[in-house]
Amino acid sequence: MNHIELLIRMLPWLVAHPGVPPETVAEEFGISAKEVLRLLDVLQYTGPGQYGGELVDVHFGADQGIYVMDAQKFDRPVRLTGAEASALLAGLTYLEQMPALADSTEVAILIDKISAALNPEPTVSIVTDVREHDCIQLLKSAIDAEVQVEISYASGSSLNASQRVIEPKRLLTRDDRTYVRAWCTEAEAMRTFRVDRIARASLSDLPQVVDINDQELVRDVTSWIDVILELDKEFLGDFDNDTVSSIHELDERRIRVSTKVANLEWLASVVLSAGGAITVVSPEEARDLVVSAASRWLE
Amino acid sequence: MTAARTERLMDVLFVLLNASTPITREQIRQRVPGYDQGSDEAFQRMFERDKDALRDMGVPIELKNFDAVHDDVQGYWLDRKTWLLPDLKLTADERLMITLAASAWEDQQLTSVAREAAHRMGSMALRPHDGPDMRIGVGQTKVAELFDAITNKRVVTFAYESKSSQTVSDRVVEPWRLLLTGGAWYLVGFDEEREALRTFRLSRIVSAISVTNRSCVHDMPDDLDLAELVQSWSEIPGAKSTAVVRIDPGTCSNLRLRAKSVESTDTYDELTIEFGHKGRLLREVAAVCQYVQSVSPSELNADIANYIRQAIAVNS
Repeated sequence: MNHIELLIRMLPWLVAHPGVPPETVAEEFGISAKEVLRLLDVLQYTGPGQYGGELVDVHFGADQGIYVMDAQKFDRPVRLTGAEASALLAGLTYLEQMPALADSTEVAILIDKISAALNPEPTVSIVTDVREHDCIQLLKSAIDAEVQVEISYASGSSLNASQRVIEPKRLLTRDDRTYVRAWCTEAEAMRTFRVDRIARASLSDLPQVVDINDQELVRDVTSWIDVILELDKEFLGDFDNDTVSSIHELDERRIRVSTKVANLEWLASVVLSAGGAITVVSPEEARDLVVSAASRWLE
Repeated sequence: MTAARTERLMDVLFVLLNASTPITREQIRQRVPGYDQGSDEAFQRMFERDKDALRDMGVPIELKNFDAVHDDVQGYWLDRKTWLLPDLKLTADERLMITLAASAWEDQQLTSVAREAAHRMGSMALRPHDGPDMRIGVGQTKVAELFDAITNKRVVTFAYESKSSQTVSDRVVEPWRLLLTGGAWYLVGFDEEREALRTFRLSRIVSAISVTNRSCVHDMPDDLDLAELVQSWSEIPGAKSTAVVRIDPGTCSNLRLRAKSVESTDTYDELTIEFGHKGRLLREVAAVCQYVQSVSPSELNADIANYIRQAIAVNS
């Protein structure tokens, strides 16, 4: 992007954000703060004429923020391209459909406003499982009220659902899946729970006792076991995206993946559930577990 | 581009932006400092180049008649209404929603398009540090590729492995919509050879997607309800089948959650499960097969045994 294109983008944006510091502008537009100042310098000398009142007027406030006093009629942003409007609509559709993220009624009003003005081509539709919505609302209120929640959880790393008391801290989403990060009172650690695996949830009267700052919300996978697998591409979704460290394409259909799993019993169960689609390359122990778990069926 | 040229182009832009009627080349020359030196010819060449450069950057400079009386004189005109966005009167909350919407993509290319969109809406583009933790298009390069094809209404071709026959065939598709549901991405579109709506799971597209320069001729039907379409996948026409699964007492709560009824004895729990897709039931039972004592009807029991043996064959 050349300086003119940057200036065309930046000037109306500065008008919309009076007092924004140069560092923020630099971050937003992916350039250095020095470059921002150089561009502002160009702006100072430009306008429809050369005399007072005919030039763009940019000032630095006492707070070191940038204030555009006179944009010489360039105070509105340029219209969006078709691709930009579609990308925006798709992102808003995501916010609207995922109850964990925003108030969907408010997003819907915004979508109407934007659709009327820009007429974007819709590209993405999301169909979520409405059965999860009540649970998400319950978790949201538990986070706000800072109370505990009792859940019945069908864990992905064990074969049996368990009753747990959790202290929900934060909701997060990956594609159409919603997760809750919570303090698990049994494990005495932060855990990530998939909302679609929470079979039952109820609010408790008990207040949350563990105060966790965001830093600690990152899941600890250091104790997880390294495994190497060969599998059909479409089974990659069975594994946690965050723990996959490498994917190597073997052919159009098969990939070799290095990842981490919480325990090998769980891995054996995933392998069995995939029919012949997943082969464990290492550790060997996991292959033995697959065979022994199926022993009843091999007679 | 030299600093002098940048300033000159910006001046041309502002002169046009502030003019209330089309203005002649000569009028532009008088107002832009960089044009006042050199011969007429040099100026004309310079102006032509500058004007084309601005047009290439998307500035819609038109050549227009002055008015009905002077129809032999033409001037340059930059229509603010066509070029600039109308004021959508967005609230601070709405601008924040736009920021979030722009920062949800995992794909780099979509992210930069969405950020540009946010900037043009007068929003911040970078997600605030206390914003929600979310990501869309996780691990899916095909989402970005198809996004462009849908926006530009271009026919795409790709090799697709059908789930039922496990055979790969080349498909020619008019792409309508990307559908995200049940943890998977799909393309909904018009299959030109089959002359009908088809849904393709992106993970089963086994080739690169090539975007042709042919335009789509079929529009997505207005009454197509994608939620209904998704619903229909889990419903096999005709009756559902029933399986009876005996498991060790107190185990397999994942499977238990799905059972219509559970009967407990001392030696086993008996789950009655209704199912539409046999494939899904095979996966679910195989996952917990160490706790499963038997499955009826017996054909289903044999299918499960077979399915499990396939997993063993590639792991021993």
